[in-house]
Amino acid sequence: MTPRPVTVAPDANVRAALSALRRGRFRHLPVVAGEELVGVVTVADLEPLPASPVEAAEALGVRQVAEVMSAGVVTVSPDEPVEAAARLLAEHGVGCLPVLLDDRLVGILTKADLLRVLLRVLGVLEPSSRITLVLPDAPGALGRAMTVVGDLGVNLISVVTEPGPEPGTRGVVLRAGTINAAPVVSALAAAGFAAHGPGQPGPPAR
Amino acid sequence: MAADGRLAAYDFGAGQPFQAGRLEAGLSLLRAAGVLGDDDLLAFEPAVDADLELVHDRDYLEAIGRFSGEPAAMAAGTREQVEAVRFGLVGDNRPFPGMDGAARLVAGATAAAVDAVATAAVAHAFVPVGGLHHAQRRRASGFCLVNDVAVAVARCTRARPWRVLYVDLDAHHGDGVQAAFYDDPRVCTVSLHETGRYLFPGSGEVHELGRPPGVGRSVNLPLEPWTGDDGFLAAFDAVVEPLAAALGPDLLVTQNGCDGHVRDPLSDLTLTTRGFRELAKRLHRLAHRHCLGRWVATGGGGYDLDRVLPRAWALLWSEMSGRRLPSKLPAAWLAADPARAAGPAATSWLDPRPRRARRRAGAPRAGAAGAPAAGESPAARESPNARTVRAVRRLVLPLAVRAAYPGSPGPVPADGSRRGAHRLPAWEPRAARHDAPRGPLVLRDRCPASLVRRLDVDPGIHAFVRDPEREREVLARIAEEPAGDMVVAHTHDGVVVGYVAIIDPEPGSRFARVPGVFEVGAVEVAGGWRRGGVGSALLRFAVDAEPFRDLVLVASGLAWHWDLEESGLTAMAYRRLLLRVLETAGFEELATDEPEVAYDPANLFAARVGDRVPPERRAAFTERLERATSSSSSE
Repeated sequence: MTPRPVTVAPDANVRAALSALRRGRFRHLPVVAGEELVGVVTVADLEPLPASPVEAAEALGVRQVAEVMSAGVVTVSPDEPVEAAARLLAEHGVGCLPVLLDDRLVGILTKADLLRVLLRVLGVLEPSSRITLVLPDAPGALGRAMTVVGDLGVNLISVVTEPGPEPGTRGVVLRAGTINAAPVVSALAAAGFAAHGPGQPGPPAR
Repeated sequence: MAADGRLAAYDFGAGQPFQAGRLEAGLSLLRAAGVLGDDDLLAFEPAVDADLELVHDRDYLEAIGRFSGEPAAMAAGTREQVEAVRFGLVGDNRPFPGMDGAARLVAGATAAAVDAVATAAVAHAFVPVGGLHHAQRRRASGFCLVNDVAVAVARCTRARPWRVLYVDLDAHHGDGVQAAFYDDPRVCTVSLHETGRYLFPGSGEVHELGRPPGVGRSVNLPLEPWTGDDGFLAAFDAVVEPLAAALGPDLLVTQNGCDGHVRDPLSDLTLTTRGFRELAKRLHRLAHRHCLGRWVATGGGGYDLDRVLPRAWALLWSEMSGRRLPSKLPAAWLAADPARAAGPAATSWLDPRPRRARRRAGAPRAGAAGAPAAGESPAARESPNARTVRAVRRLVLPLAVRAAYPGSPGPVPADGSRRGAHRLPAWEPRAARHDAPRGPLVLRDRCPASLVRRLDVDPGIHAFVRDPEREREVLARIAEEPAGDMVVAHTHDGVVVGYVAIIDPEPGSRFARVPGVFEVGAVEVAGGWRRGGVGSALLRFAVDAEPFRDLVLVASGLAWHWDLEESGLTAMAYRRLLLRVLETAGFEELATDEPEVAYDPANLFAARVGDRVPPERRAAFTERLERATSSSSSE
């Protein structure tokens, strides 16, 4: 999340809100009355403006944030697991979640924050090689495959699994902390796992 | 050459790709071929802390020192193991006895090579074990403990206000060197590598461009598996030579990793020694053309020690030293190990030409994404490599340099039309007078290359190329383009103080081959002549020629090419200034989602539609604007 986000008061005029968004180059602005969160205003709430510049200028100047904001917003607490927050964003179709601690706004979590988490989880920010695997969707299969990698002395930067291409399979994407991925792929293949990675004959797995 | 037996200590152990035998395997062939003698070896000492700390953190260096003793079996979960993992000293980079000294030797060798070249003791130097380009500030990575290249370059730029061009040809992205100079506009790092989508280390995307003030000086060309020699060389030619012309480097440092070879186990670029020889020739020429010959090459990766690495090093060293290799590989060297003669053309320096690429280099997969639909823009039919190269050129090359070095022609369109077929109509050259505050100027259009070469260039024109001689050559090359128009403002003494270049839109770009659409390739006014309305007067004069009433002109401005240092303006202020200049010449700003323009809010796109442009041509232009918009938003 972004701690201590920029906020706006409900009686601020829309022009001030829009310029705060543009200045900060972000898209969501929590609306706070005193200590209390009363809503969220987004670029999308502010931008559908009258066509003529004169009308637009008037509208921006006179309308208040409270007239265009979304009230009754979904919030999270700082100790919420990130996947729970992601689900809330998806289920409610919103772009951000204000983070409240004891009813006080302490931060804001946006989809861009989740993207950063995803990059970290997938291990792409650390030097590593990408290896894909298809495993039987059965207890112990992933463990056996990872033992093969561990026995080579290769450190794993990330392991992500998802339902595989066929029923009863699991797809796995590894990021192995090695420049020399071929022995990892061969060892996995020798142990009976369908593995693809760089340095292999045949086109790379997508 | 900076290499001796001590460097064999850089050894992750037998069975590891980076092992002690590497150096000897390579150098044995150079000696057998009679191109390397003991007199060639430079003296060097292990790098000292003060040098290493230019690039690495002290606690990381201390950890390397601590792990240099006899390897104790590291129990899982112990403090030692946790620390080793934190600094990347596991797996590929597992500690070995004496690694501290070995790493310092490599760094010392590269530093000595740079010193020798910088002080003109030698023109070129080669460090076969150097090029440990993955090492990070506080992390070992990909067999690289210390970043010898970054250390040597940092030492050099600390002492001298030089510009350095670093060209990394290893199959893997040169991430550590890039990171060390990510914000430095004087150290330009260029890495050609296999895409990091699968391959280690995973970085090296086109949009890793650097951080201010070094934006545009980190350059990445991620290439597809099976790129092959031709594709690799095409990418090199389209970017590295013009970049060198734009930068005007004082020193060339290269990482000539040969792990992109078709036999190398670590990558899929499918290069051959033919490609390596061509690359060495090009680097050699580039060093002499742009860097007073100063060139330090490092060996980098390459893990086929029998068939590839010795040949690759020999070809590179032969090019650098000017010593001819014998026509065949020495028989005694080949006989010493049967693996050295494995495969076809065993006695030849060059690999056989690939009979047929299994798949055309980086060609789109037929069927995978479906054949391109009829009516799609030419850009959609480009190979991924061609698209990458085009994007990189637009992002990092100033327009004038791009126009002067058009690179390889784009894909031939279905209608068979070629670049150059689309050209400006002829008109009688014009001249006009402009009274600038500093003195009267002559404005003239349709300047041929011969005239440009007879004029001088004001030293204040230097945003792209610092040397007026070279700047003139860039302008002359633009003037040679059959499709374009070179318009200059010069003093009565024949000194060019400003120019406008009108060019054919680059092949594959959004407006390429759209009938009647041309591009303002560059507008530049010399430092001392700005704020006198010269730019506006020049542009107004340029577009005032009769034929432009029937044509559309587009202009885009990318903020990181602007001379903000000299002008003392912010990017947004410069943008306003540029837009005002364009508007006085009848241009109008247009919204565009062209990724290169959208990348920075200060970037600018504008167009001028001539008053006699027929409706159908106007429609074709707006359709291209709109079609491009809809197709890129669906990507």
